Amino acid sequence: MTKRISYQIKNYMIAIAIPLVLYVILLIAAPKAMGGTQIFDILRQAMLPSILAWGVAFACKLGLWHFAAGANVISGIIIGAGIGNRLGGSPVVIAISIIVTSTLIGLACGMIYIWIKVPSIIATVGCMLVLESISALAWGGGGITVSKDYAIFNSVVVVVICTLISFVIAYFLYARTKYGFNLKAVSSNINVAEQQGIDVRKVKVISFVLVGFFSGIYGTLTLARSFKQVPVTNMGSMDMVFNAIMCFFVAAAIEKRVNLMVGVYIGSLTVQLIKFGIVALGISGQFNNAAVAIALLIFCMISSESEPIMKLRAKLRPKKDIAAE
Amino acid sequence: MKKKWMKLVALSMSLMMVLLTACGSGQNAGESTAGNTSAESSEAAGAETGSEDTADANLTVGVIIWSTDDGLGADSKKALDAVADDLGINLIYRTGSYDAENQTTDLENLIAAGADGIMCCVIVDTSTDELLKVCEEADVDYQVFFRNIIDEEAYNYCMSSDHFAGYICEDEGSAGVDMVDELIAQGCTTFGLINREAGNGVIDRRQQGTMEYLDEKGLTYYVSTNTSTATATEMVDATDQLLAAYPDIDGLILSSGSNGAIDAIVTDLEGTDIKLTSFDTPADIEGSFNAGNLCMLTTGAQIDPVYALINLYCKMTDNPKSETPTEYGSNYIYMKSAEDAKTYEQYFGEFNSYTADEIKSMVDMDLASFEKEMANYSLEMVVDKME
Amino acid sequence: MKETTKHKFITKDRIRAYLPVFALLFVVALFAILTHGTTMKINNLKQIMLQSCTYIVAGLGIIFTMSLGNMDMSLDGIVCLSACLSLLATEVTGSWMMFPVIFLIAIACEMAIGGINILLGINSVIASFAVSFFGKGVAGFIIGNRTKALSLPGEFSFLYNRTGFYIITIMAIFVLTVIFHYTKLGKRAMAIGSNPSAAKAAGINVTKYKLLSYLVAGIMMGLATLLIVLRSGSTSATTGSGFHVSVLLMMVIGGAALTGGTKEKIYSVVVGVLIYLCLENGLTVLGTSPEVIGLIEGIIFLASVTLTFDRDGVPYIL
Repeated sequence: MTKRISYQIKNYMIAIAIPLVLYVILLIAAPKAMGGTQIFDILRQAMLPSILAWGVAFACKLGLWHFAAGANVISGIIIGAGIGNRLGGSPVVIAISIIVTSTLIGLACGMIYIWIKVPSIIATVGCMLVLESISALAWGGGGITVSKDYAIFNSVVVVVICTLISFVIAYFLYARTKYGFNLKAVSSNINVAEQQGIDVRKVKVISFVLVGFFSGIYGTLTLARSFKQVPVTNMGSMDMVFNAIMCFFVAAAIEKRVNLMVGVYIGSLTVQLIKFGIVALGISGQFNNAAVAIALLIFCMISSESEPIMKLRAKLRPKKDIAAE
Repeated sequence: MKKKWMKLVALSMSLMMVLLTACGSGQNAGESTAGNTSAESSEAAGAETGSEDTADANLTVGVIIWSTDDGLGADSKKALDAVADDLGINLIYRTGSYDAENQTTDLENLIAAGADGIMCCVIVDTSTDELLKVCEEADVDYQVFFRNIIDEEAYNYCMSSDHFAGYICEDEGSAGVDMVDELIAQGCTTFGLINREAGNGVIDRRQQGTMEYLDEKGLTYYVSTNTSTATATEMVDATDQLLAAYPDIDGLILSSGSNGAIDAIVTDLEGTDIKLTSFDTPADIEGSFNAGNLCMLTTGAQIDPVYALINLYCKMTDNPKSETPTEYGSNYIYMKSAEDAKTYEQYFGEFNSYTADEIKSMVDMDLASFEKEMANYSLEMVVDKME
Repeated sequence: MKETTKHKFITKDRIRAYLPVFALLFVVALFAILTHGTTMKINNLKQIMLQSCTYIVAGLGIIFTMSLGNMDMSLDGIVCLSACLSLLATEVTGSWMMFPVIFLIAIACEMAIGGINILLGINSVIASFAVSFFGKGVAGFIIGNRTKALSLPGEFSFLYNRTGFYIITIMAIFVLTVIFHYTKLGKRAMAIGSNPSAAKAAGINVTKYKLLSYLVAGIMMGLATLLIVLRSGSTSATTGSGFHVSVLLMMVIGGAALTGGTKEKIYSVVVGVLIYLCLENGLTVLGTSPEVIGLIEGIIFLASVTLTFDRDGVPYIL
């Protein structure tokens, strides 16, 4: 039992190594910036992006690209909040309306993807174009606003609770349900999964629905920051997806150590630390995305099982074995 | 076989949708402000490029603007639609182009659509003359709004052209200076700039003007740069990170927050001593001032395209304000209190700055009177008029 | 049991291959009727042809990487970075430096994507995003710190003329068609895209031909960037914004095979670009609002990819 616990602890330590290293670097390089309660602020800032990333992780785990997730969020907020406003405008009604609308939009994207049978990257780019346009045309254009009563969804307590609930749902679905096992089977080997009787199309559609669901929660909380949502056109919603995909790839890199959903939060934390580091060290903010992209490449290398990387790992391993002897 | 037919049906339905939407688009409110049907607008489009009908109802102006969905873009469209309605002209909008190449394409398409004049919010300053050359080739008049022309070569070319109506621009740099001065008056000594990445001429000028003034005065400032597609959540988190990295900051200047960032930052700063000035308005302006952190808003620029359209219309109808291209400055409206905010929200929700008669009278004004009228534009002017 | 086919001439492959051509004719005819001939005016057609040059040239390069089965989402960053650095080089050193620098930077970016994909085994979409963000970051940093804009020297403005653009584009189409369909490079690239393992087993040096494909893509992107700079006369931090998705949309509408392989055709680039630009031109002439144009383009995009995507031999589509 003790061995198992210490093994788990070791895994968690390895998993949080990179954000921990970044934190230590920032403590040394910019002590004034990292002092006091700043780490708690960063932990909180990592929560909202991780909610969206949990949804996108279900799609990415299957090997799907979901470039419409950002448009899903924006159209879910605009259409859902618009409906909520017309149903009385109370915060809870608006929130439920956003979540339901986003989930239905996710379902529609999934159905389109399954029906037209083209690569997900293309299907979701098409869905993104359509959703962005619909959000720009909805309710006469110009987006929506909600009343200040909606601020309840911006309180730290509510954000933490919603994040915990989202995590529990994502963790439970991924690790404890039949759907999660089917997902892992399909992602591992799609041919074998189908031969075993798993309905691959159903798994894919549900992953899109989950993206919609988590987009809805993300949209609910993000709307409470500004009380308004303007439409985004010209593929401007792709940046949101990139951040979520980044979190997934960090999680994939450390999946052997911790559960994927825990890894997603660690990924979100890593992205926030990188962004904060750029500000704290006085580097131009123009390099935000570039820094995140380089980090993404590093994590992809770690998690890659391609031939060149496996050869590199094999080269490193014999030295360890010899040393052990 | 069945699936193939279903797909053919889907394609036919998509194409039918194109047909119906295209037919219906001629009746879209906001574009056909003179109420033309699609057949008539097609006929207008089919008329010779650059020809001016004696009947004003057939005049078409193409408007190239970054967006009609964000705060200033939406207000500008409202104002332009109202004025076009008063003057009896059609507007066709092209949005979403953020570089010179795409704006050139938009311009060519608008000319093909039969635009008799073009209004353009130029994204890249040095491409102003390149865009003008396309207009000259098509014998179409060209007006720049929300911009001046910094590049000397482009400026000289445009100012010597017969087809250039002129430009109109706010003094972005001065507005930045005024905002810094306001923060200094509020007791701020260390400044944080919530900036956007380079690429948008107007925002670049604001940011440049502000930073140059701060450098000139030897004041300490720190910059947080956000992407052009950053969400409100990302920008408010970036603001928190900037304030955490540099706790001495006691004054913030937001160069562009129309995506909801201004609302988010106002909410975020509640309870702190940090003062905030911004170029974009929050949804609840009065409430934002009452919250205590917001001390100045620089806004009201939606009047700029109105003056630009009037100037272009005069040139298109052979009644130009000046024999040479005009160079106008346009006023910003400053709000510094909840009172100002209340007044602004009361009178600026819809386009109330000028009545139809006043618009028509501005068409007939000579240059000096028109410039005087523009210089008069202020919160007080609109209030006096409405009361 | 003997299979009888009633219409041997009309096969699935033929429909898939020629549907985009019919779509182009349909779009041209539709808007000619709706606009009472406005879109068919010679000036308008000339403008569309001129607008198409940059996209066709870029698409011709990207079709090589697409034939390998790799998506390239880096075009906006490559255009921005190479335009910025080339005009900066011209300003600093002397007028002619612009030309080699544009090509060098574009080739370096594409080879970086190829290198990351081939040597490190990282997905090409991720690699291209990384290069795009890096390129935009560097270009934005350089331009953001300048007070004077980067513009094309006056002595080169004569290079921007319709005839020159048409000649360059037609030559590019001809040369790339020959390379793609009639040389070893093109055929090997398609073979690798169809089945990399089989290609390797057949003795094809997969790494070499993949890198060569990226080299061709880099050269064509350099040429496309040059055309953009000549057309716009300057550069900014947003040059090339949205270029990657526009080119992808156009190629997909034209029926480009997204998973690569031997069914890739050069003409899908030309046809797709023309369909997209005619659609946008026609809808603008009709006065359609930009949001509705975006919606129609999205629907047309989904519809066309549904009809032209070759699902044979691809059991599972991701």
